[in-house]
Amino acid sequence: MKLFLFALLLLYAGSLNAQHHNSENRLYQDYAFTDDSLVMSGGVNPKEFSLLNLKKEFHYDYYRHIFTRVSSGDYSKTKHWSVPIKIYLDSKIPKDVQDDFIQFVTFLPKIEKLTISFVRNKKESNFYIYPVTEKLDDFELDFYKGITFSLLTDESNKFYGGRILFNPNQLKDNTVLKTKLRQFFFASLGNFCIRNELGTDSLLSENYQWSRTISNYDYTILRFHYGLYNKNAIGYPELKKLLQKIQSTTFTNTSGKFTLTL
Amino acid sequence: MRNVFLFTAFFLCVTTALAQHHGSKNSKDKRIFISIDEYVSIFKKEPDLSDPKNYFIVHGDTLVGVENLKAKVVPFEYKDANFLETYKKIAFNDNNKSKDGKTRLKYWKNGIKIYLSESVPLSTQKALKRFADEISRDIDSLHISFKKNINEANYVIYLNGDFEYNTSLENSDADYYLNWNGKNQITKGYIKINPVVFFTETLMTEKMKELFIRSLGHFKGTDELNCSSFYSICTEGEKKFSILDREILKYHYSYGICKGVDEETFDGLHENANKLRKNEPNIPHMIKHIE
Repeated sequence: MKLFLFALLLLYAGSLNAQHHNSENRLYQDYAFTDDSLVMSGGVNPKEFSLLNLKKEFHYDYYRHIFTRVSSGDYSKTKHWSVPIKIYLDSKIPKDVQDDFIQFVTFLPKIEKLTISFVRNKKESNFYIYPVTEKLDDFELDFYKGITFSLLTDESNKFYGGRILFNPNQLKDNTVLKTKLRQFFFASLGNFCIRNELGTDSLLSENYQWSRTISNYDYTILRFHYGLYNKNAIGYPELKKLLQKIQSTTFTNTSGKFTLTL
Repeated sequence: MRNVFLFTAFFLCVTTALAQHHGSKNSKDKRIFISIDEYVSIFKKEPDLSDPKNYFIVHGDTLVGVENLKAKVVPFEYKDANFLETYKKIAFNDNNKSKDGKTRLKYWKNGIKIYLSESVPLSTQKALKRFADEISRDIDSLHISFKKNINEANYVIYLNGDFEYNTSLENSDADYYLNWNGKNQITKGYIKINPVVFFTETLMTEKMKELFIRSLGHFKGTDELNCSSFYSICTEGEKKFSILDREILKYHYSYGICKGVDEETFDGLHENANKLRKNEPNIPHMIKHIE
């Protein structure tokens, strides 16, 4: 009996210790003052991530749109919009281009954690699309001439503002503008890299051609990306490990969301 | 966000469990009594202990009398371990270490006098003034005022396209720059925002508030607090100046803690204070600011 009580005591002490340790390491915690003492609660485990499953043949595709080497030699981390996107289209944008863009955005698949709407007042917006007169040719490749996007990113790799600016004189015609606006907006949803080796049906391809529908490829990238929305941004090595974990384990739920610890 | 060293440090903050009247041997004696370590730290030499009038011993510690030093003695401000851990992550910004490799607390010793460039939208100006009032309320040693004449200001807030008040911010879309002296006292501040990038007054105002509060102590963002805190690194809409935000700022500007110290010293002072409180619970624990 004594032994049993001692074991219980040890177990209790162990659990207390675990709780204390846990709260010390959690991120983005809520806080309150109780009797002048700071009490932290909630928050996220820095090693725990939720994500959707992604078929193995898509892994490389996803990595190449998301991760780039940064100056330190490490890989960049995933970036997401953490606030609803409110788009304001400048009145100087031709009506047919506006209509096409609105239709494109309206028919984007509904994705959890990603909300997009249009506003009539620039003051209410956090995403501004507008023409400029200065030359936009920061990049050598023709594809990037005449249009660019810029995102406001906080220290946790989340976006809270963005702009697409274009110079109509550098773009051949309104069809090119329509196509590029779609592509650059889509890319700005996750700071996705646009690649030159993809076919004509992907918005993330330099060879993209205007199409009525969004391709399965683009949908998969966007859906997986926002399925990977975590308060704590994830890097390439960690994501690789998590996806390997999913692939090597027999889960009954292969289409829903997984919460895994590294 | 870099520093400029203008003066040699001649500032010390010590904690003691002695009641205030122990600070001098008699009421006519204008000397301040400090420990031998503190003496060496200030005067860079050993004290002269040949004359017993120059010192006395309490609980085994030798206290040496010093003249011509200004001192302010106030009760030590205790905080719980959770608060201190959070505070340290924010206040010890290791992005700008001293030459000795240490990170020290930075603070505004004198009042902050802000000049807002005329190009800053009126709604942003109003919001910033309200914010400055809100955050400095109840903090005796943090004075923020707004000046119309730039020559009376020690803090300039401006936008791209204005005169470049600080060339270090030339290529910044949104940042602050601080000058501080050898005592880790911030003497000048600048905030610059690019209105093309922060294209609505809301985006501009929110960024300005965040930069401004961070510039009050060269504070570093933390991933420990949820996004509503101004000290948190994440954004999920408008931030609120929460009770914790206020407590952190209030504590940073409290006379009950040591200013300009490094983390090791900060920890040591708290450890010492806790020990003293445990061993001598009935004696008020004071903190002495010597200048």
